[in-house]
Amino acid sequence: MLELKNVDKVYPNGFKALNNVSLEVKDGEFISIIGLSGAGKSTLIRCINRMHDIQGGEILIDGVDISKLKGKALRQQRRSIGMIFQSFNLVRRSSVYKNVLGGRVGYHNTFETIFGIYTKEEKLLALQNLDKFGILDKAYVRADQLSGGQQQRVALARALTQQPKILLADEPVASLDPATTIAVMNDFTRINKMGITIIANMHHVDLAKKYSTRIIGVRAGEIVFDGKPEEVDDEVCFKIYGRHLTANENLGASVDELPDEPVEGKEAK
Amino acid sequence: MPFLAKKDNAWRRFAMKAFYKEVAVDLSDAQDGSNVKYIRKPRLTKMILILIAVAIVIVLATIPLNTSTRVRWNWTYFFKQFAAMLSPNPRRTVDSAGWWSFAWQSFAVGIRTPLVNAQPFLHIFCINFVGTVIGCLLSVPVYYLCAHNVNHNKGLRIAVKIFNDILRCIPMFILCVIFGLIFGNGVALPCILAIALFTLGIMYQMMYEYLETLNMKPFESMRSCGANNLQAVALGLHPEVKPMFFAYAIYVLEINIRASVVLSYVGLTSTYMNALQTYIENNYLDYIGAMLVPLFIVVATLQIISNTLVRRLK
Amino acid sequence: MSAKATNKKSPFRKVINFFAGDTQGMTHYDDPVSAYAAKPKMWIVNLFFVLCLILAFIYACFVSDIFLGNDRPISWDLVGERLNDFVHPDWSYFFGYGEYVFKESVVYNCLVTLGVTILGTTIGFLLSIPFGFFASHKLFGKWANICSFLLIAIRTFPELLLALFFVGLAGQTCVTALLCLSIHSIGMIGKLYADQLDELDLDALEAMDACGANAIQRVHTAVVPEIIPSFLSVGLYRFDINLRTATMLGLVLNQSAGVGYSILLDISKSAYSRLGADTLAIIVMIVAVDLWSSWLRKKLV
Repeated sequence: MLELKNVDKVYPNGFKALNNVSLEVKDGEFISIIGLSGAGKSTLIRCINRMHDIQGGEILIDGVDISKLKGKALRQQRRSIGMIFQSFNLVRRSSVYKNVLGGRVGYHNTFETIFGIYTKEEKLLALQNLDKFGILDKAYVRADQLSGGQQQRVALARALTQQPKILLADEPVASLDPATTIAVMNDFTRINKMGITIIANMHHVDLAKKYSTRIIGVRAGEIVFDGKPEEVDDEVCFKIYGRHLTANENLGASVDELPDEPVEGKEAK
Repeated sequence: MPFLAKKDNAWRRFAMKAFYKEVAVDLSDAQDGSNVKYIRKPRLTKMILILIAVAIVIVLATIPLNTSTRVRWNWTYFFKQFAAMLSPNPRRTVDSAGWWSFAWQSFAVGIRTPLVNAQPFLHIFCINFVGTVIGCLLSVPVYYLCAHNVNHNKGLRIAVKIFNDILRCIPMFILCVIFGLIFGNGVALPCILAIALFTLGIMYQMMYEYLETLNMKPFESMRSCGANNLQAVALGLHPEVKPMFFAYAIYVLEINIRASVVLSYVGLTSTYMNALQTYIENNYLDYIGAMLVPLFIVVATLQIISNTLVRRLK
Repeated sequence: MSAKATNKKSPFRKVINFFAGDTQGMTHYDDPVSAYAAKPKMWIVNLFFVLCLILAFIYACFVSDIFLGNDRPISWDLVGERLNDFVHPDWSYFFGYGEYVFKESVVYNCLVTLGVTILGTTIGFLLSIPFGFFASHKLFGKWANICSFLLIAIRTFPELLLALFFVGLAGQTCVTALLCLSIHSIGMIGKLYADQLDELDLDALEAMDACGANAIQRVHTAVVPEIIPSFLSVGLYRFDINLRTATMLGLVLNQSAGVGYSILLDISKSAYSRLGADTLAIIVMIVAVDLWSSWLRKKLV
């Protein structure tokens, strides 16, 4: 269980990104965070695994305050929190397999990492996770030769190889085309059904409504809405965004029309 | 100087016109309603050109162009040199077979002539190889320490940078002289140490500049997986840095081979480079021509390899 | 191995797949276990490479006689004495007072070196402009290869050898130093010019074409203004390198090229406090010029 209590975040230039944010996340939830860009969505995600330090309040994961942790304890806490980025953040010159094995880094010491020493179980786990997303055939291909959707799946496989309890996703589908977006979102749903909590920043409101079990609206560093997807209507959107939704904040009709099966997974021979 | 004074006078107006230009800046969003503002920018190009002109005048006045030996232009001799390099001399290399066999000897076997008895090219290549390998290995921690996107400790970064910048400014033969004071002259060790430090100076500079242009996102994602700094460097950055490291290492090896001619003056005895120098001073030109063959082949090959690698990776 | 290779049956492909894995993504794996069995054996190649490097290093250590001279034990007293002299430079020799006249002093020699460098770099800077244009692939297409090969050939020559050849032309004088510096500069400056020209955006050229300008007008109005700052920055960079070269040229050209020759004299006379003065002057000069030129280059770009 993840709990944020009165979290404050102030950037070094004095900008207050989070203001007294409190939040309680139960295990197995799929949470979407929506809001304008610059509202503090990204900051909120990054504070949860301490990629950013917070200035006030506490973040409890299963009762452990992560904001007070340092060094090795912090790194051990981080390995139970997976993270997905908008631009995939893969090591472009390494193979997919090596990228996915990179998720195990928190379980090894520096020497083992430098010489690439992993156990057989870990290697099989990495390949199994690639298989789950239908990209096992690409295991030994260099990461920069894959398409955007495939790269995001590699990132998902890497996060799964960490064996996390929580998965944070920072605009995971913002740089993908609509068809691939649906496929990747279906992958997220499957991960969620394995019992992993997902907290994702969403740009598209209709996507968030379709896939998540709970929606949080952020405006100017404060939580202004917290509820079920069905409760999100025009009025709520106006409260979160301060205006009516524009066309680019909805993915459009394709959300309901596209098949649920992963599109690129089918192509794999 | 009058034109530096704040008050307006002819000198100042002249200097302002000559060395500064007025550039219009678009300020359509400005508060006070003005949409164009003129700011003064120095004419750097013009300033440098004038500076060079002044420097040249001073230099022509001071350097001993005419006071030392009078220059006698010896064009015929100069061009005959090149012809003589490529044709075997009847008293020395005899025929073209002899010329080529001398080229081979100077590459691998050893130079054994009445005038000089010296080691082959392979020897000087090995000296450079050892020095370059040591220098490159030394440079690995140094360039990671110097890059601001890896090392956030500003004090340490600047300290390492200053030390290395001074090291980079010392010419190789000075380093060799300094090490020669300790280990004695005519031994390979001071030369190898000099080459190693020289390599460190070049490698650190090129590598950290390359490192600072790299995308830090893989590094960040490794941190989010729970890696410590060293692990994040090894998994997130090293795979991207490694090919460039080898390309630059080959480039530095090539520079070192060319630069090690100078070591024959201050550090080394009876090497390939010493033989080259003695032969030129004694006009044994066919020997020179034959000896340059391995040097050219090796240096040009290394140059082409490293150029191609660097161009592909950038 | 249950993996079925669907790609072309080529023996090389098989070997590459064995060591590097299927980098093309052409193989289908039925399950993770079969993929695990087909995982790349890159560690064999890496181990082989590292072993080769280590063996080459050991071989090179033996060939280069790195261990030779250890039979002559280092006398630390003597070393201490030398280093003591070295870190106490001879100031009267440095500034040219007392028993030395100014023309023998280190400061004078350094000025000569600096002067030779400034002149040599400027000449080389001007000489390499046509070479740079002719070696630019964007402007001259495949004909540029001829010139870029010539530039490689110039770069292959060590500076000191070039100087030794020019001694035959103009004797041991300043002119030889100038020739050596400027001709050798062409190799590198020309290549960097060509690189800069290749990076140049040629839209402006097309616009000039549309105006009906001839070749010289085109280059004058569209290329020259864009290229001058980067050319100057290349020249300054080469100035740094030429200064280091010029200090070495003294070894070949005696005192006419500046400070290098006095180092040779100091070593042969075992005058270590004078050696200290020379070394100090060279290092200070190069550091100062380096700082100045990097500051200026930052402003230019």
